[in-house]
Amino acid sequence: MRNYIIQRLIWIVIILLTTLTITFFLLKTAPEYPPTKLDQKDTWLERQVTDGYYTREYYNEDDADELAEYFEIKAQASEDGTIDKTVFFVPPQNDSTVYKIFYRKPIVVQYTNWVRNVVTEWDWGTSTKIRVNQPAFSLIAERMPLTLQINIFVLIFYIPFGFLFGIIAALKKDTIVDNLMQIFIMVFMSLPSLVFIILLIILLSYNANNLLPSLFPLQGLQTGWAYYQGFIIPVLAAGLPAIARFTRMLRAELSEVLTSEFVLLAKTKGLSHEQAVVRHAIRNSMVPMVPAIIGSFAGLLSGSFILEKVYAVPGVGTITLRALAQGNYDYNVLMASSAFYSVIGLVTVLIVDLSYGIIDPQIRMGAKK
Amino acid sequence: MAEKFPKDYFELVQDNERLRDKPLQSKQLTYLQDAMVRFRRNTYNVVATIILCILIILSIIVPMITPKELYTETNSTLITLPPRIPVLEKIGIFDGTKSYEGQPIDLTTIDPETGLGYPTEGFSVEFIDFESLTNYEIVGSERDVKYVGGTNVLYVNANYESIALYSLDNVVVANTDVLTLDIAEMSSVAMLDIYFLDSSVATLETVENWDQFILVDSISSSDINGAVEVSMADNENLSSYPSGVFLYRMVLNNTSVSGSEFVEFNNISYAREDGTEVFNYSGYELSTLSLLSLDGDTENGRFLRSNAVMTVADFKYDEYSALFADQRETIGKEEYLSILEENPGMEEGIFSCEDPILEGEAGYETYSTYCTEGVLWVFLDEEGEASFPLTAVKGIDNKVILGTTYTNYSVMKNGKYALGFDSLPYFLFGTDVFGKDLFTLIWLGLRTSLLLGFIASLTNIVIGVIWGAVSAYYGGQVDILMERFTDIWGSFPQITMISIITVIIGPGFWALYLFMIYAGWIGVSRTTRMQFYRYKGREYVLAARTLGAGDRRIIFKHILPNALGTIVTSVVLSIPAVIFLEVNLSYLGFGIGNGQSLKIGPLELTGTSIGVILNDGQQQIFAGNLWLIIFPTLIVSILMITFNMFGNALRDALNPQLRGGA
Repeated sequence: MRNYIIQRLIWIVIILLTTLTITFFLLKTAPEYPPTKLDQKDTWLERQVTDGYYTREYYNEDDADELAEYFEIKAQASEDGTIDKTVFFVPPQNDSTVYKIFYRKPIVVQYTNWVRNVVTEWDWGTSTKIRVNQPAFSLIAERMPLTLQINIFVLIFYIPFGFLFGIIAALKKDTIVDNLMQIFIMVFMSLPSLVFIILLIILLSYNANNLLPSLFPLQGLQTGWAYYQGFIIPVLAAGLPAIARFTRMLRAELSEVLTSEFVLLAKTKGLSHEQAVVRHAIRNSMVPMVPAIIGSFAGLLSGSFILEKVYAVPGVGTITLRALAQGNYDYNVLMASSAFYSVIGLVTVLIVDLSYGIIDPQIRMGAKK
Repeated sequence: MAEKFPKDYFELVQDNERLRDKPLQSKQLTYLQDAMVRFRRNTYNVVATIILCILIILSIIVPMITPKELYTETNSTLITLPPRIPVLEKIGIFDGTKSYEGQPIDLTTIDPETGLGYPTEGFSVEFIDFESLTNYEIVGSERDVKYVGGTNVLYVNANYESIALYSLDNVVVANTDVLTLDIAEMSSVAMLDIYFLDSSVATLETVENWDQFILVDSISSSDINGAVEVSMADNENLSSYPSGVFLYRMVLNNTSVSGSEFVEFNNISYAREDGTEVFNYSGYELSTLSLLSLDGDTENGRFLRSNAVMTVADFKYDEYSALFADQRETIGKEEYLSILEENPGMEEGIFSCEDPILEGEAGYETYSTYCTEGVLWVFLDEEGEASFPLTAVKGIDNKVILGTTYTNYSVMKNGKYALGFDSLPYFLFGTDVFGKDLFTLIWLGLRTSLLLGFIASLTNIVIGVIWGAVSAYYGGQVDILMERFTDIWGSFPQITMISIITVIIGPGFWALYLFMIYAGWIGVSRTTRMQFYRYKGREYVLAARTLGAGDRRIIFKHILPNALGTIVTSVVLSIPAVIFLEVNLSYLGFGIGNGQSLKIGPLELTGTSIGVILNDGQQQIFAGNLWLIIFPTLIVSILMITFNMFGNALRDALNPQLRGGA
């Protein structure tokens, strides 16, 4: 078991590194989008030099020869089309008297420096667009709690209802109750999440005299109930389809378990149908359900950026989408959020695998055949 | 004791016959017929499949039969028309009316009988549904003429001591005049000083300090008992009939801490002895009074309106008729003549209304139909219909400017003609923010979404089946390597892939296509691989092999029919997911958008997809144009539900283990 976990952890690190490496290389092939304001651009480029992605040359303003050289290089660069792509020119800023030229290093060199920065200093670079020259990872990190909070609320909301409806559907299988539930399940699973949130906003906010806020409340401005009211629509929007999925799965699983011999034995002992279900069948149907619950967390999270965008929730998804605004790409923020989503996804898969072994003693993790 | 049988005891009975399979006595079914039997077994799924087919057919036909300009051209006059459906309009739903809420009414329109008024700004009386008209009042504090009554409250701001209020009415004061201040309430720490500024001493622009004013009276909270009347007779400074303005200055005995000290005015009026009012301010007029602050360090305040009431109306408005009604417009002579020139037959079709035609005389019918009050002449075609750009002329206006005469015609523009319709059109799902027909747009968008979904699914099948088959066929090291590759590839978070594709190739059809396939094939390859492993070692495969069947026969006759069901079903069931993805991505702006197009052979895909329509519609929720969201949602939901049910039916149909005959 321990060896298996270690193996899996190593595998996770390998996958994570590979994904991030591919992302890094692919993003670096696209043009740079440094900050637009000149002084911010200067600061950002200087920072790139210290981080090891760029080299820099100074040309003194007072020296006519150097100045001529600077403009010559600039003219050459704009002729080659490399200006503002791999070569950046910055005229003197503030009280400085130097003209600067920044050259981008080869991607492989940038990559080794990037790995060094991340591993040794946890430095994911600085944001270029969203909050100029602020650490990119902290931008993601400060929004993580809200995103995780909403998704945990969704879990808390959907699990009890999923259980309840799943058990009812299995017990009342092929009756009118079950059929009605099947219709609801079908409807909830067929509505695109985007449409579903919009419908909820119309129903609960717009058509109900603004019973609930139509957008997520601003953090810091509202507290207590007024703030948590903003959670209702997103939690419902993500939770109801989750309930539908869970109900369907539990119903199928329970129906199968109900036909097994130990349930028959329990009934032969004198237990009623309900007792047999609650005491014996549910426990056994848990084997695939628990991993499914854990696995759903990653699914909810990756689906949450639609939710965040529609309901204007200031979470990781929104910030990532802002970093992806057309022609205003913020690569470092994108890298940081990629890492965030990757880690969550991979760790969830690991926990799911491990949970199989813990719940069902018949499954032995990593065992040889 | 065993009996012994000699060899010739036995006789060969079929020595000269060749043994052959005999035809089955029962009815034989081909693979597809067998599948159809299973497919038909679940009625719900069959119904769903039929609905799905109708949706697909509509998405092909509707854009073909609708005039192109209705869904390709922006038409600013047709913006956000509500749905109007034949038959249903008769029973009052989808009849082309739009419900308006909280529209401020024009107070002059209040009907004494019903007590109801309606708005006139932007609405025509004739198209308001009076049965649905209701009025109610909303209380507000806007400084707006639509709000009536209420009080106006003068506050001194925090950290200041006083503030003054004035109106620019110049008053000639006689000592018999009375200034009446109706004050509802005032803080006990405040005094209200009434000043008069004699315009011969100073004006409001030139005045420097409060000594230049004449103090008429001071009012404190204890004086308030109904309206306070300030008689001009008491003040000798006012005895010389001075002319000037009145100021009302609120003074606190201490610096205000919270800024909550106030004087609440109902009304300020000034009357002569004989009762004629020089001014009378209340409600909105009172709120237009200005603040005066001579010393910026101690004088500062605000004058706010409160409890003002606005009467608003809720009603249904017939948008279609309003839009297609004739519009009155004034045009110049040149334009008038050019219209006549461009439309042959128009000048000949002039029907004069100046001489009344009596009942019974020739042309009476035309006269009574078209010659309403104020009409000078009308334009009618040969059939006697008003089909020209102008329907009538209501007046001629001659203006002489610098010796030149300019003639203006007041004309009625033909609403139907201007919009290019002969009769009121039926926009089944209404029109969107660009004035395009939503009904066609939805089918057009569905076509794009479906086509992209199909193409992407096809790609997924090809890549997935090849990958999965190779992986399972070779097995061993190759299998492990290929599996690890899909592991890594599949663990790219969606948003990372979106980032990479968006950054490198930008949003558009290709980006959308890549989003749909980058991970979509992994599922197919896993299914294929599983099926291959599953059936490779089955007994019937072994049996077939023992009977001498070749690899091809085993694969196509034995493994594939068994594996096909699962593979095809997984692909069909993945199409809704692909369309979901398209909707989401286009909504987020990473997919296609308005104005893009892609040509695949003879087919031209437009940049309109369900996701794009939803994105446009979402911004209209708060404008009350809910149909822009509801119809696309409805169609997408039906599509998803029927697709899922169709997938389930297909899974049953393609599973040979479920015998169909029984």
